[in-house]
Amino acid sequence: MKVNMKKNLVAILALAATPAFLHAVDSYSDVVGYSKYSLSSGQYIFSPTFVKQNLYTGSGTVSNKTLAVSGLTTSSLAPSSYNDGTPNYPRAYVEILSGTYAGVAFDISSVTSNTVTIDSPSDLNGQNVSFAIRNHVTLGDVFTPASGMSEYSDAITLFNSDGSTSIRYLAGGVVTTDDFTTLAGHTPIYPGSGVILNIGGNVTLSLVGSVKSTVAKVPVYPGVNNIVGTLDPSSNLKATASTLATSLGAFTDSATLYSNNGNFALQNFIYSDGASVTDDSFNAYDPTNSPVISSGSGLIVNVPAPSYIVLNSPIK
Amino acid sequence: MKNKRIMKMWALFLFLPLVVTSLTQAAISITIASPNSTSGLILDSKSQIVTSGFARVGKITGTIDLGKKDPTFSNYQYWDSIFVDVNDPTTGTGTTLGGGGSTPAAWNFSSAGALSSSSTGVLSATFPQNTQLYIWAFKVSGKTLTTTSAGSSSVSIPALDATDFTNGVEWALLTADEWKAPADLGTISLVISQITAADTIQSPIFGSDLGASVTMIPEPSTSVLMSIGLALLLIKGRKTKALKGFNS
Repeated sequence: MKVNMKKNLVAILALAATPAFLHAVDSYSDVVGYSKYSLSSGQYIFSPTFVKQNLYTGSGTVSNKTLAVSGLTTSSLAPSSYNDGTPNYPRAYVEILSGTYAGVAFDISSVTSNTVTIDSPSDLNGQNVSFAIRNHVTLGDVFTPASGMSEYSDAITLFNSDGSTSIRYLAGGVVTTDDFTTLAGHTPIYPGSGVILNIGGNVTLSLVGSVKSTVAKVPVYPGVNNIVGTLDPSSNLKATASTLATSLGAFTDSATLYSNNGNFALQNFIYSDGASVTDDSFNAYDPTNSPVISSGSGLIVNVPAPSYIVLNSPIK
Repeated sequence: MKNKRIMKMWALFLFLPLVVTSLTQAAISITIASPNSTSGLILDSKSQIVTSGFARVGKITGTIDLGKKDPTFSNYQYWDSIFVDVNDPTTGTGTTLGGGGSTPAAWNFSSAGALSSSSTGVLSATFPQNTQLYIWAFKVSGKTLTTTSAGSSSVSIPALDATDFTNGVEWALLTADEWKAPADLGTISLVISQITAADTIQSPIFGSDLGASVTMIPEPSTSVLMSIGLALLLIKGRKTKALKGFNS
């Protein structure tokens, strides 16, 4: 049997070395890993399983969407600010680690020397939370000329929260928008989300990063094909072992699984009846016939109202 | 057990409309990749940069009649009647439905002769996976595509008229083995340099392959004039040769 998507987890190391360690409220070690995905021609959902290392962890009260930080060079966390037509993107995010928003990543929209302001909902104001700050994983981190991506031809498709679609390519050795000129390597891939990849030949994607040690809450939007991946770089995930039963709105939200061999054939619809994941006739899957989400791949989630899909950390 | 089944049926009955509304329409994206000579440009019949005109992208639903390759108004009407555009409204004119995708401004030729950018939201119901895709490119003055968003009811593609053709239109009809509609949610890039003699499909259909780039074909009058010119040159060459032979 030909296996078109092959993943080798080369190494997972536990390191106790992050700049954030000195500021840590709860000290812990990042679990760092390296994965290699070998893809043959075709269409894939690709979702990075790693996040970047913590730059900072701390706690504090959210005041007017702003959190205080110390001992951090905040200027490097501000959104990019090009004046030449290049899109400006957030470079870093705050992930809330406690409370009702635990697992949600909010972009850092502005900074001062000792604060970061985030794109958070107003009901987070006044809450005392622990949080981590990380740089985004970007398209430029994942898709490089060394990956074997064909310039002008192999396409990276992103579905935006407003329902629009963005297409990215490699051109001249860098990631660009679909005008093949405007730089776009700094386009973020949010934790737990992903892209659609169309490739004409063999591509090898190598990822290095930290295994996420806390849950991720991936926002999903109505009218959008939301891509939701997994967080485990070393194992596939059965739908029955996932949090989809409680994350998907009962009978309303759907997740669609496609084949991960380049053919992108529809494999399964996944719904929830509130207690179990089910097929589209609302018959519960059991672990023996459960759809399996490949590591590094993901699902297309469609919802009638904004919500979150919770992804558990693979670190027990 | 029976009660549980009845409850499940009730749940189905109550929530089925919501299930239907949660599904998002399947769509694909299609890019033209012709930003520079590396990816290949669509040049005019004299291998010069095209700075006015536009490109249409779509599928062909009728006979590819090579007898209608010259850019004349009647031939245009033929091809237009069998060409379904990815960026035509689904409820557009004619009997065929368009792809409903967006129309980017960069599908009009730029001053550098480049074409780029993507039509997004193209319905995969109209362009199912592996549908052969074509670029129909025009060098024409005063006619441009109007940008539209996906799902727009506006027609973005200008209709050419007989006057355009009396003023000289050049065109190319292009395809390549790789130019096939992707699966739902995917993107295909139509790279001009992918047009090669090695293609199993006839490529280009109208036009000439220069390697990375391709050229359009000129209006028939220009073709005729060029042919006459070529014939005169040949005749002149023969006469000169004959005279040389006579003199020697």
